[in-house]
Amino acid sequence: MEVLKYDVVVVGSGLAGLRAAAAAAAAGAEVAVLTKVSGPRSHSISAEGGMAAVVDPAKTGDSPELHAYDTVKGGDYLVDQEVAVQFAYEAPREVKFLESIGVPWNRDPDGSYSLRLFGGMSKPRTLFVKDKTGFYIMTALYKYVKGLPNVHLYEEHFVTRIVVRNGVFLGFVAYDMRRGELKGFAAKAGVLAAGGGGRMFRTTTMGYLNTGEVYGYALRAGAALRDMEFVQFHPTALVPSGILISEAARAEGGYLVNRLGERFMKRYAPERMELAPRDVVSRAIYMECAQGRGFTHESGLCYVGLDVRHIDEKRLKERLPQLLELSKTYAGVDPTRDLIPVRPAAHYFMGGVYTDAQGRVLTADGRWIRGLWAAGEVASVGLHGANRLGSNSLSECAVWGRLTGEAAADYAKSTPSTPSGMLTEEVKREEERVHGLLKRERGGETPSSIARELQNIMDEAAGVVRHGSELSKALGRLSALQKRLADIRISDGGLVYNMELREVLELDGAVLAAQTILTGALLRQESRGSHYRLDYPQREDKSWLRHTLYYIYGGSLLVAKREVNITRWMPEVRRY
Amino acid sequence: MEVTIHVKRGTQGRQYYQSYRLEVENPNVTVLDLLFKIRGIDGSLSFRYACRMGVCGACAMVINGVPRLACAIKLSDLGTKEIFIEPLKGKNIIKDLVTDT
Repeated sequence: MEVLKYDVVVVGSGLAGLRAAAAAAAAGAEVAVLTKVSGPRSHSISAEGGMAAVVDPAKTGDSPELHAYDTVKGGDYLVDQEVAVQFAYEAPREVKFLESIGVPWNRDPDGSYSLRLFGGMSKPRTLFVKDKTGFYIMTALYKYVKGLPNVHLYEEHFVTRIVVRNGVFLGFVAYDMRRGELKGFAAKAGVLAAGGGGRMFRTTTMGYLNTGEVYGYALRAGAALRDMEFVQFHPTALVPSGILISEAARAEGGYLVNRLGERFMKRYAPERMELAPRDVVSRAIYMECAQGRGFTHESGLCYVGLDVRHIDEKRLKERLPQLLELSKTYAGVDPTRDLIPVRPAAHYFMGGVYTDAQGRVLTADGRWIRGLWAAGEVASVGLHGANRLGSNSLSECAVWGRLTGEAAADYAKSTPSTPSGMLTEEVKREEERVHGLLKRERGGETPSSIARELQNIMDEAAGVVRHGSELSKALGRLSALQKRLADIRISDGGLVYNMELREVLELDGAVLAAQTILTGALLRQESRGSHYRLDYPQREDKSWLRHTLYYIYGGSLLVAKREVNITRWMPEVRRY
Repeated sequence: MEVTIHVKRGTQGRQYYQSYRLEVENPNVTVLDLLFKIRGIDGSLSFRYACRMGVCGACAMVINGVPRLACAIKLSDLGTKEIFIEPLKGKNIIKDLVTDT
């Protein structure tokens, strides 16, 4: 058993995690990055459409204030407004940083950055590299971080526990899959940057490793989660795989049609049409299907068509090459001649680990867990409210990656080293737990059958539209599932690269996170942003213009409400 | 239709082929889908994957003699009902299809 010591330990190696590591390293800290993936393969690599930032205000008449306002309105007023303003002012700096390490932003013939108009944005302000923005960012950033002498990447190190004692962060315990052993990482400061949890749903655009256990682990470590009921469904995911077709397709002029060949968005968002925010477009597709105007896939799924046939083929090849490849490989269609079959899929978690505007992880009563930060999708810094605007997430990851990395390094500098004895104890306890799991060869179900049931529950009750009675039923099924998880079977008895063991540990956190989503969705008796209740179809500002907080107290999951930071823009009716 | 998948398994220096028979309804399934089907029967089989959309490269392996991405190659692309899957060549094997990077 090994306990390693660092100044700063980051969990996650996507854009937020690597940006945090780079910033902490630049401030002189010794940094470790723990990641369950191998190489530059975190889900950020699949980001397609682009990154929002006001880089050239003169070109489009844009301003950071307008970016913040669009974000607040897009988030259905559940956005912490000063956070949005801070974000809009910080984002351009991150565009330049990424450019400095080799991200080749697309440019117009006059040499200025090319900009796309994304859903819910008032001006074109999305920078991009073709429709493979995440690929170019991750390739450059991974190479950059690998070259930093004071950052150590621990790949395929799956975090099993966040160690917090008396409100102070002490480190992490991780399962080193390649060596088949548990290790402790004692650190003065930690940054959670573990991404989202789309794999709790069956239909998702997220990669296979976005299982969401860190939400559950954070709850168990005493942190609160916020606004978990807000799960974004991306309107255009390929049928049936859920693979993402970027919003860039609509930004470049693609539109949506139903079975009757009708551009149906005119019924739902007459002004912005296909470039309304994602919640609006996803619900529109749901309605078309519910009213029998969708196509039916051979798998039985209902879908609509994304039409890009009218876009010049040369432009398609230049600007949306991935769309062409993905449609051909995964749907067998040629978008220059055929409609692309699409339907909504779980895409992004607006909520997450509760933090303040600096990304410091908080308990339910607002106290900082000293030494712990969170950034990127796993965090709820208050930026996205009830619905994230497309292309705001890459900027969010970069901005709060840097802010938390810098703050963690500063904190580590001024903090005396913590004794690693606590970590040794914690690693021993985890070893006992894991070895206990490996002896469960005769239990009931396999991890994959439990995961499938979790996905069914979430798809049926927590999708694009929700209903109180379905949510209550789902919570009952989820609590039964929790019991079945305790009696799980692991057939692989080895410790080296044991995928079943990883799956059980993933489920252990994900089921708890799923409970917060269902609980929040049941309690929130209104419709706001991505959360749409058939039994409460109106937004109710009087009682529900509030954040929801989840925390564990005495072994039970509790919920509280918190004020939204409203300083500049009063809520208005959200029309597009 | 029935397909047979022969997977080279084991750890460095102690390898063997294990064969699995699967019933497949749609020839458009990817090799990665098939490997997941196998995991439903035999949870001890290890392999890497991440984005499942042909971008990240995590699921590179040797499929019928050729190194390719399991998520980007479909059963129908292979044109055979017998598939041989091996780890990438020239690398240390950690377990089954998982090699040192």
